[in-house]
Order: sequence, then structure tokens, then C-alpha cells
Amino acid sequence: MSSIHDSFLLKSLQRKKQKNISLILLITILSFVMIGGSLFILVLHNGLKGMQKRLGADIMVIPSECEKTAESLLMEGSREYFYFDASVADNIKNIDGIDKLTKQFYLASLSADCCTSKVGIVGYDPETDFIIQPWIKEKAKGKIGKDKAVVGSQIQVEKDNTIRIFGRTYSVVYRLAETGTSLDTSAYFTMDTVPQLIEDAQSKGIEFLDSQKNGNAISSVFIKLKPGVTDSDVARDIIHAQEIDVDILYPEAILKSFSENTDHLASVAYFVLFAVWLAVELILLIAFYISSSGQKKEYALLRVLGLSRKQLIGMIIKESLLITLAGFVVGGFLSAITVFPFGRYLANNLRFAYITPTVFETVLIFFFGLAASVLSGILASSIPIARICKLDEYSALREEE
Amino acid sequence: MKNKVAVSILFVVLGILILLAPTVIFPVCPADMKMHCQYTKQAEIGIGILIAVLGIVAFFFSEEIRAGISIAVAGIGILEIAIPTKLIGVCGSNMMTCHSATRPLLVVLGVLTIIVSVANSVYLLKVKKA
Repeated sequence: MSSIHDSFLLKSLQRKKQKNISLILLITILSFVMIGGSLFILVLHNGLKGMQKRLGADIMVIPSECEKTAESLLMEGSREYFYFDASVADNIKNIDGIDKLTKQFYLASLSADCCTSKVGIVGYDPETDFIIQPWIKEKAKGKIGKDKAVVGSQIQVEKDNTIRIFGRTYSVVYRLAETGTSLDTSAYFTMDTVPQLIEDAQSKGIEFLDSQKNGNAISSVFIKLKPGVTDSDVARDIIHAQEIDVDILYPEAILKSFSENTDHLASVAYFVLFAVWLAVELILLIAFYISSSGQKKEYALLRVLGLSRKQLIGMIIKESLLITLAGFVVGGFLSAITVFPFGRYLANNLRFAYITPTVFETVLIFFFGLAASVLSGILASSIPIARICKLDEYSALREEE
Repeated sequence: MKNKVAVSILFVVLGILILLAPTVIFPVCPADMKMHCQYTKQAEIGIGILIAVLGIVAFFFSEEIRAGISIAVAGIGILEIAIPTKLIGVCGSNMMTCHSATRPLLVVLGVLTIIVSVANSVYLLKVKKA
């Protein structure tokens, strides 16, 4: 009996080809927008999470008048660097309220031998570091020290687990997890490797000031405060403790404005998703309403031929499920060949941090697209179902005569 | 006739797109830098032309030969994907266009080429004959 129903269902779908193709097209648009939109929202949120961990410091001390450069270094991974004397860090050390303090050295980089794009070279102190540490996801392949490197997720490592920077080979100890920020395209060395990097860079034509060459230069000091301490108080003490002018950045404040922007973008995305869903749902409802008006006689005939209301309703649900599934398959395929492969390219151009979605997240996104399509289809089929429930076969057949 | 025209046009369009992907749509790194993506570009230009020519040739032949051509194009489609991903590759950093855009586009075009050619050969050999 059910196979008779199924073949009848398929024939009925084929008979209303034109209407069904336009419904499939609508569901295709819906599932495409739902999948694309939810990927966009996911990328935004993951990028923000990455940024939150990336800016794990409360205060960043930088040379004076380098605020803009430092900000774009943090947020966009710009490769313009700045230096001041390492004594700045020593002067800060004993200020009250500081929990952790670590210094970093940035080297203006050429395209390094390993990679075709510019690589950020960062000197850091593994003893005090709290900026890079949270991103180390794998077991160490040795101990960090001189001539050893930690690399970001986008740095290409040779097969023997080494990288070449300015013609010299360094063995890679750790690889960082993907952050979607400039951490991904940087290589990290201990401070005692820095003089050698400067020397190699000089031999490749990079110019340095004498103050940068003497091994006493650093680029920034990151500070984590003790709980309950006001950052502006500590910042004032830091400035007072220095003999030279320094600038203070509050990464948390930068992050706040970034997070507000992200929230705005996400709410626009939510609105677009809702608007598209609403438009598609309304069209579906209207289409089902019109078609079910014209099908009253068909329903009545089927009832007279012996189909129970339950069977008739089952047929309508199956029909709408088949249409929504077909639409989802096409929409899902389209988004699989457009949104996912080019997500990173778009994110790079729009200056978003892009972290590749995990398999679980991808499955979830597709599942969301499927659920939205199926639910919309079923909701729309509630109109013909309601008609069937209220159907008076006798008058329906007479009406059409 | 419909199938003949549609498949020939599809092959020609796909061939041209494969040719344009690394040269015009998402150009790879400049020619003065000898990098993986440069060689990938050259190989893909050849493959694009080959698929387009096979599309034109398919128009003039019988169903059996068209089915054969489709099977060959499916194989070329696999090669087209293998060039930027395995055989030659592109630049390592995903900040580069050749990595983040040209390669995915070539893979998508390769997948479409395989789907069209396999579907066409199945259609010609099984459905039409039956």
C-alpha cells in the first residue's frame, strides 16, 4: 500500500513540476543564506574569542607616539615595528599591582625563506611569557632556547621540522593553534637569538639603528595586573618610573570596541537571516495556500477513493519534505562550493580573523540549514493540512462541478 | 541533440574558467617570483584549454565517443584538482590569494568538471541505452 502511495506521490510531484521547481528554488535560497549566514556569525565569534585570548594582557607599554602602529600590530598584524630600551621593563618590575610582566621584541621582516609572505619575527621571554603560552597546543619537540623557534599555524615548516629565516635554519619546538590573528604568521625566538637574527637581517639588507643592534632593544612590555587593581593607577606609576617617554595601550579597551563592532555585524547578520527566512516562509505559505485551494477537489476525490485523512496528511507532509530536502541539497551544495572554500579569502579582504570551522561546527551549520528548510516546509504545509482536516468531501466535489 | 549542445557548452565554459582562474579571476603571484603557484598556473592553463577543446570535439561525435570523451574529462578533472593540492601546490601562507582563493576555485571547478563528466557518461552509457 505504501509503495502505491509513494508512486502516486512522485507522479503528483512530477505533475506539478513548475510549481515544485519554484518551491525548490526558494528553499535553495533559504538554505544557502542560512548556511552562509551562520558560517559568517560563527567566524565572527571565533575571531573575537581568538582576539580575546590574543590580547591576554591588561596593559601594553610601547615607545611614545607608537600608539597607532601598536594598535594595528595587535589587531591587524601590521609589520611596522618600534623599539625602546630594555631598561623600561626593569623600571616597571617593582611597581605595585603587577601580577605578570613579559617583554617582546619585533623584527621588521622581509619575506623569510620559508614563506612567500612577510613573517613577523618576535623575540620573547619564555620564562615570563603569558601571551603565546595559551596557544601552544602540542607536545614540545625539544626545549625552547637559542636557535629554536615556536611558529604560528600559518608558517610553513620543512619536513625535518625546521624553518629558514634570513638564510639560517632553526628547529621548530612548538606550533601554535590557529588564532586568526598576526600570531599565525609570526615566528617566535628567545631573546638570546635576537642579536643573531638582527645580524642575519642586516646581511639581507635591513637597516637597524645602533640602539637596536646592541641587544638592549625591546618593542613592548605586556603586563597582567593583580585582581582588583585599577589599570590607570598602574599606568601612571609606569610613566613616572621611566626616564624616557612611553605610551600605554589598554588591549582590553581596544578589544571592547572591536567586540562592539563584531556584535553590530552579528546582529545585522541575524536580522538578514530572519528577514530572508520570513520572506521565504511568507512566499511558501502563499504558494501552499493558493495551490491547496485549487486542490480541494483532488483531496476530496482521494478521500472518496478510500484514503484516510491521516494518510492524506502524511502524503502532504512527505511532499513538502521531498521539496525541502531537494532544495536543501542544492542550497547545501552551492554553499559548500562557494561559502566554505572562499571563507578565508573573504575574511582576509574584509580584515576579519578567520579560524577554519571544525568538522563539528561545519556539521552543525549544515544541520541548522536543514532544520530551517524542513521546518519552513512543514510550517507551510500546515495550510493544506488544515484544509484537509476541515474538508467536506461532498460539497468540495459539488463546488467544482 | 540537447545533451550534445549542453555538455559541449559546459565543458567549454569549465575549460575557460579553469584557464581564467589563475590568470584573471584570482591571479597567482607575479611571474618574477618563481613559486609553486606559477607552475600551477601554467599547468592549469594547459588543462583548461584541453577541456575546452574536448568540449568542442565532443559536439561532432556519436554518443559512444562522447561518453568516452566524458570519461577522459573526468580523469582530467582529477588531475586538475591534484595539481594545486598535491602535484605542484601553491604558496604556503594562507594570506596569499593563490592559497586562499585560486586553489579553492580550481578545486571547485575540478569537482564540477568531474560531476558533469561522470553524470554525462552515466547518462549516455546507461540511461540513454536503456
